[in-house]
Amino acid sequence: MKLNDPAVVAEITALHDRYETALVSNDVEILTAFFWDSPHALRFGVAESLYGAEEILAFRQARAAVDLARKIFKTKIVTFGDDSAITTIEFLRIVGGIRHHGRQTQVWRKLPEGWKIVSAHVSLVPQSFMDHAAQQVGLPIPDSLREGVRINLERTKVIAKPLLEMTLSAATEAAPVFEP
Amino acid sequence: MTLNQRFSEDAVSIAADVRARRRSAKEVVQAALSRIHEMDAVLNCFTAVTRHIALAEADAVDRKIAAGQDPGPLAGVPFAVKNLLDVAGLTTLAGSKIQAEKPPAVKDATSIARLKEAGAVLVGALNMDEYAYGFTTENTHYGVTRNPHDIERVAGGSSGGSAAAVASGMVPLTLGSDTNGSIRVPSAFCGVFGLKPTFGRISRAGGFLFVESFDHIGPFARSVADIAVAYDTMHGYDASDPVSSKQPRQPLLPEIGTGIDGLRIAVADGYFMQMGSPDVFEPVETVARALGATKTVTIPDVQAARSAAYIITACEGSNRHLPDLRIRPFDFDPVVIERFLAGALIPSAWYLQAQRFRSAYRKKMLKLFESADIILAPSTPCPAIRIGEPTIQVNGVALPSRPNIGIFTQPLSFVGLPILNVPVFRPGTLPLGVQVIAAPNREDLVLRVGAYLEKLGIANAPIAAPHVGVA
Repeated sequence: MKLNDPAVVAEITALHDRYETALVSNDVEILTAFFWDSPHALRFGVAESLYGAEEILAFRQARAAVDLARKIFKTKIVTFGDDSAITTIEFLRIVGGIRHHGRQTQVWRKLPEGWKIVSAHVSLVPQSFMDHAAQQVGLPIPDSLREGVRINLERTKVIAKPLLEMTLSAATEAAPVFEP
Repeated sequence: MTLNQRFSEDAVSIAADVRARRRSAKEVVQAALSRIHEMDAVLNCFTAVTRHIALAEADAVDRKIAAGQDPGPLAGVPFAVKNLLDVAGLTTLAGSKIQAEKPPAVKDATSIARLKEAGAVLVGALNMDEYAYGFTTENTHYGVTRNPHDIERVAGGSSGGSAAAVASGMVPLTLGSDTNGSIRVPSAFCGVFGLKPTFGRISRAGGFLFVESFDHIGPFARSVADIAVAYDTMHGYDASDPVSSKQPRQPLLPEIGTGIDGLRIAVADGYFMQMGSPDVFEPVETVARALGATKTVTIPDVQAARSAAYIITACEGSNRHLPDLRIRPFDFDPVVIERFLAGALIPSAWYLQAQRFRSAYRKKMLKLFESADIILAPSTPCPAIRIGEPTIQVNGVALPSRPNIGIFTQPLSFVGLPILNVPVFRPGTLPLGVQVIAAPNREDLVLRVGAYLEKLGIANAPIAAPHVGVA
């Protein structure tokens, strides 16, 4: 078995690119054709576990086509002989102004009907406190400021320590200025 | 006439001269405007000079005097204000680029209106850290304000323009605001008197808020009498400030010369004797010796107080700007934006713990004042730093300068105590400051101590010898 035969790698790379284009343009027909038409096909999305081609199709058709664009990095393709391949990517996707870091793995097999994705898994890297809080507050953190904001939050945590260690009596009230 | 004689006038003497018709308000204001014209190109204190209005207002004061009317206790005294206070006809910048898009203010802030009623003449608005979030007045939009004692160093902040304009002799009186040290830090760095009154005693109405829990307005001057006159003029209830104190007015000028007999004065130890470079403790010792203060007192839970002030500042400061932080973060000053963004994400448990701790800490501080009338502490952990200096040395550790220059001031404004920065300056060195601290509403005590130190020559705020580098 030949590992990473350049011809096979080129073939998979082209298919992988076409899949990506179809994904971000939400071309359901093409996307469906890429997947193995079998009850054994599988796709674990970020929030959904889809067993079989029918569940995958139903999901695709119901999906809201918003904020689909994503930036791919660290694409990795490994082919085994001329009929098997695994592709992995990491990606950044901004949904509702909030940045998500995700990963995707696809298993490809060359079947009589051609190359098909037989199994796929997409996950998101758990958000940091900063990203999670920023999402809750609806406050996008620009990429160029992320590191500075992260450092500031770390520093604030250190500064807050003596305060958080204080034991206050349950009877101690804050003193807001509010006169009804 | 030497340079110093030319500048060495204070607000009280100016008003006395103008009232006695030894010189006109117009003459005084013109002189101030020409000093600003000469000196401000280097120091960068002013973001606006209201030349025409100032001259017209000076004329009005002179006309009043000619008509035999009382022009007020500050007749003809030129003054300027931190640009977060509303000045009718000027856009209130609060050190920001974003606010520059706003229309001009329609009326003067209460503090300004009261000084004007007393005959003082506003000559301009002064530079500050953006939205008051800093201790150095290194403002990316409007430039750095330079320290008149050494122009390679910062004036301190956030009311840097207010301190430097007085220290350089451009004007005898300015106003600034203090949230965590923004009056005391720059007055210490520039070697002038700066009063942070009790929380609520001087109206904040017409001021662009930074942190509503701690914001104070207060005066800068080169003499305690000037501070007293300004305070006397401005303090007292104002219905348009929701935190304005209903405490009866108490004029201080008649009291400042009554000395320190019977006052129990103590020096803050522990944290306040450790968290700074060695030179900042010297003036505290000098002042303590002069006052015969031999006792020390431990302010409890200082670290927690500083933490709580820091958390409340970050939360309230950021929340005010949330709409702009969401849509235009790059219009903020790059030196504050990351702190604002981070502050918007702090958990509510931290904020509420900080607010509740403030109540508990207030009780402990009031208890402390049962056995001491005055507490002394350094104002800053270091003398004025060089422009752009990223870190300061605190107790042998390098800490980021911007958030840490206020470590001695922050735990005290946290509970709204009245504090006078008393400048201690020896020629050939950089000025340093001592915080003279009293119980709430005891501004009389801090000014009496300040005046006593001034009389002894221990506290002094000479006009900075212009633009001489200090090693």
